[in-house]
Amino acid sequence: MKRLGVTLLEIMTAVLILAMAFLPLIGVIGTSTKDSDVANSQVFAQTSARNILDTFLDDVPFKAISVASTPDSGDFAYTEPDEVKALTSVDYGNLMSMAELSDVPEKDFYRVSFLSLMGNNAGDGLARGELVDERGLVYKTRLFVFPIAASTDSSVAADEITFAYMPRPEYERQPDWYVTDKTHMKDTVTSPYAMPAESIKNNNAFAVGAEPNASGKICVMYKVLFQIYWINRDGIRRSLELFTMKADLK
Amino acid sequence: MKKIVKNTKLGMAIPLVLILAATLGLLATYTIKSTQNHNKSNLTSYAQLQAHFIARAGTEHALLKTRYMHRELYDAICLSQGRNPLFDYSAVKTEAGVVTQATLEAAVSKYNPGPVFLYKVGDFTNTGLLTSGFNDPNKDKWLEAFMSDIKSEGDAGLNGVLSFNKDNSFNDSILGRMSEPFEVASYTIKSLEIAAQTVAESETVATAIENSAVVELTINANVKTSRGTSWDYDIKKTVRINRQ
Repeated sequence: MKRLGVTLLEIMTAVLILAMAFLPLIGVIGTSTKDSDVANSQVFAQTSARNILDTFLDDVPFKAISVASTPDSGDFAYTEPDEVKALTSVDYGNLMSMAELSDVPEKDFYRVSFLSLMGNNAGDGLARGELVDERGLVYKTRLFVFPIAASTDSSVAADEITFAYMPRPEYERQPDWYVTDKTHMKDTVTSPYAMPAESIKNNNAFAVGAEPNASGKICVMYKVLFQIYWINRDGIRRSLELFTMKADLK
Repeated sequence: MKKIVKNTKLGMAIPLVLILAATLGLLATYTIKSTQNHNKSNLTSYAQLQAHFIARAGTEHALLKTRYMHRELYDAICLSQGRNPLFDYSAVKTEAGVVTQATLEAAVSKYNPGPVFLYKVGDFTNTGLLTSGFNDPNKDKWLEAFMSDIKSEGDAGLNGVLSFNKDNSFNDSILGRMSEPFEVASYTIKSLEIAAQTVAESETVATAIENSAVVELTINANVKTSRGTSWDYDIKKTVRINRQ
């Protein structure tokens, strides 16, 4: 029997190999746990963002939206100047650009219903708030709006929205057009499809009947930016932003 | 005589541990791959979500235009169908819900400055209010003009404010707030179908036929994120428009 001592050597070698095998595995488990934390946060953020933004587009009346008139303060102050480029004239005088909502009783809209979705329980109308997931992680939400101008005169500037169309041919101006007993055109009149083509025209929102808002400006659309940000357990700040537009449809 | 027994257990520990280590290695590889896939999936979801909201932006644009230019759209639809948009279709009423040549002629003579159709007798054959196979080469040019500017990148310097392009100065204050501004984001109208041409014909006396149409808008959006993830998204929206 010559097994004495050999097993001990084998066990020591085995333990050494196992230890070497475990080292990267422990690293992988650690990384995986961190990634899982990040992935869960992203799923929560994406789900919340979609829910909030869809509700904003579907249920919040255009009339209820304005650009915040006073800078926010407190916990939600805009304190990350390093992530904001120089603001341009499209900010229309409000450096915050945060959306502010008001009640519109005639449309059965009360701002608290939407703001609570964003996690704003402060009682004001600012579109920002704080959400907490089931793991206790805190997410801050903000909604920015950027008015799209519409001209108040007949010209169309580069920063204004226009609507293209081709005028209907005025076939009814032809003699004998107004027949009261025929379902088809008379043989003697020119078909509208054979008339000289009109060029495409562009009308601004003012020309098609958009009404000025309380400040005398015409705004028929907003560009909208929704932002949600949070800090994971690894201490890194992460965020998710979604960009869309909302029009005055009612 | 001493029996020699061969020890077959010698050296078993190391192979076993090697197998175990290899198994752990496989497990680790699987975990890494799984995490990578999960992260990739999240990135794809983000691109998909952003494309969804770019498409929604396009839908808002299209509906806004439809709201303000409903008469032009109605006229364009009628012209594409060979019908006279000036004809008052509310005059066409039938008991059975079926419009015939006789009911059309009755409506023309009684109420309308006619005609119903913008072509001559013998050019095409109508079936009630509609003309299947109407194919005048110019019939769609009004609809095409209406659709021409329902997109994020305007022509000839117009509607530049609607662009999502990262190089567009109108977006500086928006993209500056984004942690990962996308490389490309745009929308365009894919189609404008007249979804319910027979709605008017199915109406009965109780609900008068009005000068309205139902159209189905399809908006297509494309987003390419800064990480190279790209996504296309279509949204369909059905809307009823009235001439008045």
